Amino acid sequence: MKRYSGPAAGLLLFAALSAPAAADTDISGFLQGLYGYGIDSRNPVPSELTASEVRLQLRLESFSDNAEYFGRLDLTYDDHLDPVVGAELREGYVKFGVGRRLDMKVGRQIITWGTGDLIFINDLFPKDWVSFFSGRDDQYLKAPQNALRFTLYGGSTSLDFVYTPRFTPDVIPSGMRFSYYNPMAGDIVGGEDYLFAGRAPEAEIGNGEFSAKLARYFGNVDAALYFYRGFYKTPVGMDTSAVEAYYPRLMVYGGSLRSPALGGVFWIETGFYDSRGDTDGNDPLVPNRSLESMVGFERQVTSALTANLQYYTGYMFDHDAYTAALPDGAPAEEEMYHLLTSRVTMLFMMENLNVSLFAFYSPSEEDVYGRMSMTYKYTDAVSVALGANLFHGEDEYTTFGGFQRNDNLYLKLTYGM
Amino acid sequence: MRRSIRRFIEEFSIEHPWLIIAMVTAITVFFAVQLPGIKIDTDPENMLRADEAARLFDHEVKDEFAISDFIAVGVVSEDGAFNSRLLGDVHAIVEEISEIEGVVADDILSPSTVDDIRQDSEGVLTVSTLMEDPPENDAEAEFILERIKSNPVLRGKLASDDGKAIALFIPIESKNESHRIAGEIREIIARHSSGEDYFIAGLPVAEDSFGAEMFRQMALSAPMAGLIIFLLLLLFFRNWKVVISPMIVAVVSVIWTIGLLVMTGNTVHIMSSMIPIFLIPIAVLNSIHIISEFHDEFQRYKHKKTTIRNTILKLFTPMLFTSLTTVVGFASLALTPIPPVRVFGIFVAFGIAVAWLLSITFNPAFAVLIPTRSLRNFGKTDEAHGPLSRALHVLRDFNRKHYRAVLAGSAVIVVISAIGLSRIIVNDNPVKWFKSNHPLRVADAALNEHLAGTYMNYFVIDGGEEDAMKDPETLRYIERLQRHLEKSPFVGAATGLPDIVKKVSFELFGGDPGKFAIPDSRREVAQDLFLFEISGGDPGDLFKFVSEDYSKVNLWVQLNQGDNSSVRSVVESAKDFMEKNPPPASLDAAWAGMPYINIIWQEKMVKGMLAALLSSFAAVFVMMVFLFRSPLLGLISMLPLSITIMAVYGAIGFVGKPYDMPIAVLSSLTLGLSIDFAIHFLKRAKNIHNETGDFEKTYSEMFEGPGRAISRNVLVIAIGFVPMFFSTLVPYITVGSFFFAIMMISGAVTMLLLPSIFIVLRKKMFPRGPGRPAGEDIRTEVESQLKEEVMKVGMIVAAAAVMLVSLPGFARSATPDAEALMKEAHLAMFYAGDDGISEVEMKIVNSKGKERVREFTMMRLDIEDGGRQMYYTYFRKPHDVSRLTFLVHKLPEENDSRWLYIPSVDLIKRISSDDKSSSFVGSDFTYEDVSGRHWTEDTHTFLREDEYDGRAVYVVESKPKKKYKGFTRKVTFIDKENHLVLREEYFKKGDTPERVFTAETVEVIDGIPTPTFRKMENIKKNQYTTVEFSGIRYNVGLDESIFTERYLKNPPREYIR
Repeated sequence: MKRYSGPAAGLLLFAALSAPAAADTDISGFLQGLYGYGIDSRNPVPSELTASEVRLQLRLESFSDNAEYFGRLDLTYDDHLDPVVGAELREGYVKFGVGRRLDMKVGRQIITWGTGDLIFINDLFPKDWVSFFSGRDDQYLKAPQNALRFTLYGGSTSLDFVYTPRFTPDVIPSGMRFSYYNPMAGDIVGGEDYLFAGRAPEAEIGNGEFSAKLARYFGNVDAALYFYRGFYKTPVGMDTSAVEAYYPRLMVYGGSLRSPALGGVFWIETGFYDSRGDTDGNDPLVPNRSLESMVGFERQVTSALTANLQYYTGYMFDHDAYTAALPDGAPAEEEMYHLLTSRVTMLFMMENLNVSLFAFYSPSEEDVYGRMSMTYKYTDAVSVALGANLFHGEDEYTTFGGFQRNDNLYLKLTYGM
Repeated sequence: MRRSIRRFIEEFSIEHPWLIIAMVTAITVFFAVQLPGIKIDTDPENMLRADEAARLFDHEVKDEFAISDFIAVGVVSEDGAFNSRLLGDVHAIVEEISEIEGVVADDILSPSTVDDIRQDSEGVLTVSTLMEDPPENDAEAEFILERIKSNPVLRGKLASDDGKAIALFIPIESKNESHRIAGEIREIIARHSSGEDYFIAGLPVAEDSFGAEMFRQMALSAPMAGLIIFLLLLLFFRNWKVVISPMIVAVVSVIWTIGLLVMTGNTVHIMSSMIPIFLIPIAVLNSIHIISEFHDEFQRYKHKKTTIRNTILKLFTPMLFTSLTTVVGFASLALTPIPPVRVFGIFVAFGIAVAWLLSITFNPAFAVLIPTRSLRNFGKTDEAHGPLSRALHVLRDFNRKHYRAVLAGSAVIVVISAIGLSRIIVNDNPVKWFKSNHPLRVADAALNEHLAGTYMNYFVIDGGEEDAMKDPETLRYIERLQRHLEKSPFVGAATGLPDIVKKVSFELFGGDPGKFAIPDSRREVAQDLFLFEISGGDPGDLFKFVSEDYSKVNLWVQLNQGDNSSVRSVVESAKDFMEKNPPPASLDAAWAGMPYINIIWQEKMVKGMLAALLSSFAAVFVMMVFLFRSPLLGLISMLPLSITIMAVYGAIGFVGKPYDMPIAVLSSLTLGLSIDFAIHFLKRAKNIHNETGDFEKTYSEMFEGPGRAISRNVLVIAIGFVPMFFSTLVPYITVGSFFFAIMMISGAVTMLLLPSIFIVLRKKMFPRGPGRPAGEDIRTEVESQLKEEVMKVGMIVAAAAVMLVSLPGFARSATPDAEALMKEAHLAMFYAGDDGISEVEMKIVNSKGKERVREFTMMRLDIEDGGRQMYYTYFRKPHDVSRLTFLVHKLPEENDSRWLYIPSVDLIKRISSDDKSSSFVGSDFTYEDVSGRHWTEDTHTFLREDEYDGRAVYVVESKPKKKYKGFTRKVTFIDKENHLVLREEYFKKGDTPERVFTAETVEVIDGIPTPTFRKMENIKKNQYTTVEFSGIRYNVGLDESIFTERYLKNPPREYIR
């Protein structure tokens, strides 16, 4: 995991701590122990533990009449890491209104949007998949970034602009705690020798990320248009001269609708991924342009059971050019990628026992990822969770197939205050 | 960003046709699944906003005087209706009608139900039923007629003076049931009638039946028009595989539009039922241009993809603009103050946008998929020598020779039309939406000929203080007003309190004709009225004419004509009288009743439509100047549409057809449709001239391809709407004729006038320049690229404009008396003050005594008492939901809108709201317990009066109207004094409640009694939840903006600390 404490964020934390005396301040947080155990002995990673940490999150919230200061600092102890004690500023921002219609949020923050459940088409904000696989709370899937956010409101319409000066990629398995498929090695790899990192774009003005969303409610329907200019969030490009993976340029134009229907909620989202580095589709080392779409439906079946179903598809443009340019024998991506996901959440014992199952299944890549968890809230403050992450794939080069050695079980104890 | 739309389309539609078809199918399925949720609303009252003053007053009057809307039933017998047999029939019929569900049996006006006052043989004044039992002989029957004639309250109302007609007025609970009730009445009559003609009339029946009929017509005429259009296209292009795609485009755009309409919670009103019929021709329009071009060019390239590419290249700009102008035309309807018209305009605009998108994506995709084999002969017919071309050549030669005559002729038409325009009469009458031979029209005519009239208006005169109406001077003044109103040819009778007073006085003095007058003193008036109240009659009848405190009188003004112009003249006449004859005391007067409501919305509509027409005219003109980059060409392009509008509306003025709702709405259609041809014509002329550089060639060429496309369009659409001429509903005939006229006239003007102008302005419009050989497309390429950039901006502006116009929903208001108690309780519990803030501590205690705490701040804002309401909840505890906010927009009789803000990921999520019976944050309270279950969702029965916890209470039992998960039965204990719910028991099965609510502590805060400690016991699960409210503040002046997305993310710190 990447540790971060930039000077800007530090300043913000200072600003938050020294917020005007008149303002109300609130401090809260939680203490959490998380232990995960890899159950596949063939996993080529140095440790059998997929997680072994004690985490203290401190949350400081302070607000005056027109500004809000927010800080969230995580202190971790993990004896499998060096250094053993780590600190990460999860969030540290100032939020203030300019006039009646504009809000600004400056600093380290977590941003997300879009309609899907664990599928992100127009949400190109950084994700932390390592946290996700290791069983940390869902909020840790969304990784923080240093950004400037403007939100304009007008009635039921809102317009968001997010500028992230420094490109922030997703956190993906790098071989330390979780193994991954390495196309160079042609195998699932892990360990120090295969520590994987993509080459981030230079820190230049033109290499920032820009995202925008225009949203409006039409009666019961939430509609939104999205735009993104930046880079692929994972290093899917290959620089053969430097034998190094990198993040190719990307622009995304998309839209989504979310509306109640048939006693539940229905959503549809689509995004056109304009891969700037390969507009003709004849460079096999850079993704082709594609159209990513999904539809989903969620419904409360009984008061204790909620289920949803999503169908996601990616369509690759210029597939002919791609296959023609691909070296002989290299595994080719299909023109259409299909993915089905389903979540079932059950609540028992007065909503104190939460059982959640989430399955990803791709019929085109023939791989599966199942996530299950059981959380019991002993009191409002104390809860215990038991969970599992299971991967399977016919081929090792597929999305989830590449993680198939990472099956794990975890136990998580939380004390909140 | 430089990637042009056109290239995008090429890639998508031409290279990946299946992808387009799959996407269109998916979206269509998405919208199609919405369709079953369709809600229909045929109440013309909804033409006004729910909070419109005239409408609220109308409801107030109906509530105060307990008046319902009436269905009029009449029987006419030329041999005299007052004989024992016929009265026997009538007696039996009324008996059965009073059993129909939805009829207010107590208030039926008929010989066997109304009270008559008279002195009996012993000199005792009695009030008794006019015809308690059917008369035994004809003499008794005659006597009943005499009594009706001698009672000014009944005269002309129940029977005609010549005794040939009898009328029954059937009051109904809801006018939306009129069509069904009228049907049941018809059946009853059929069983009892012995051969006379019975008629059923009245505005409620006309309006409700229109609704029913409308949907039948819609289901018939839209597919009919579609079929004819299809056949005509087949005739022109002779290849069904090609011709099917415009039809798919039309159907798909209708599905998307109606789907979105349903999805956004709008009801299908009289206006919106016409959406399909408006959309189909417009949707087909663009496709015809594409096919026409494809057809004429295919044999030249002999290659599908090339032909399609060239077609799109040529037609992209004109099609975009024709669609945009039509969108603007309809979107302008959003400016009208009439909610259904706004919905109609916005959704048709949306549909047109969809149709445009489909015609440039789906049409090419579909064409690519047609096997080349089946196109072998496509377009091979020698177009240049076909009948259409020959006709166009004749037109061309005629025009070349006589262009001056064409110009002069146009000028003459403009002048004549202007005269016609000045003669337009604004009028409407829902009864006249039926053809004159429709049974409802026949009944209307028959009843209004013989009787005082079936159109009931109410004129409420308010004396401002108690007993004001016992003053003889005031009564005499009102009587003079009545007689003045009756002078109008449209007023059959104006009945009121003076008539009752006179009749009582007359009978009291043993029928002395000299005493048939208002007594001289206040005391005598009061005595007469008191006598009437105690004489055994139904005092409820009296209080239909006067308020219980005698401060207001309600004149029943019966009109024999429902035309808005007639109603208006009566309203004017009353105003005139009161201005010229100042009343003895200060009196306020106002109108109510369905016919009056109709004139209110008509006025709004005429003004609104004019504003819409003018603004879209201006917008279209600006767009044209922009498109042609020349004010001159912009002006010329506006000519066909201006002349078409003038000619069509001028003709209406001459024919004498009143300007009514359908005609008003059609103005926007005229604008959008008639500009289309001009755009295509001018755009193509410019392009051809750029290619050839020669005016004569350009002129000739315009009568080839472009001329053929326009003529085909004119013919297809015009003829496609001919079936509507045969509809039974006049508005449909009007719409059909309009389409026909618009197409014919604007087509003719385009093909005649524009070429004539070309000749005259040849030098200015077509400056001589070197022609470029065909094929050298570089400049046009660059130009069109440029244009596309410009158009993108235009499209975004248009899309934003459409988006920003909000879609109005209708708040319904219906509060039957039976539910009054539950309504009061609901208002006391959930609508206290105008807004409120409170800190809430919720404790959930399970069967083992373990306790969980939730703390939150709750804010509430009422937009309308008993109606729209908003809740904002900010959670503090437990820690894992801290700072979470929850927003509910509550709409009675509809699903709530609920949003949840999840702070840890900074995300707002709309959540499903179908299940109101699910637990609120894990407690024993349901969502509905927190915000209240609207009283109209259940039927209520009064059980008893009782005592609970030392307080006097009413006990009411309620059962859900629709199947409901929360309970099957609930019993509510309502405090008599402050209407608070002190206890509520929810049953599912058996006699033991599953849950019991109790208000444990009631405190008075800011003068408002408030339950501050509440408990919900879950007997089934053996656990309970308590809720304690603290720091309650009422009427703090919360702003509506707090209840929006922005504040979900940023809690309003002035209230939440």
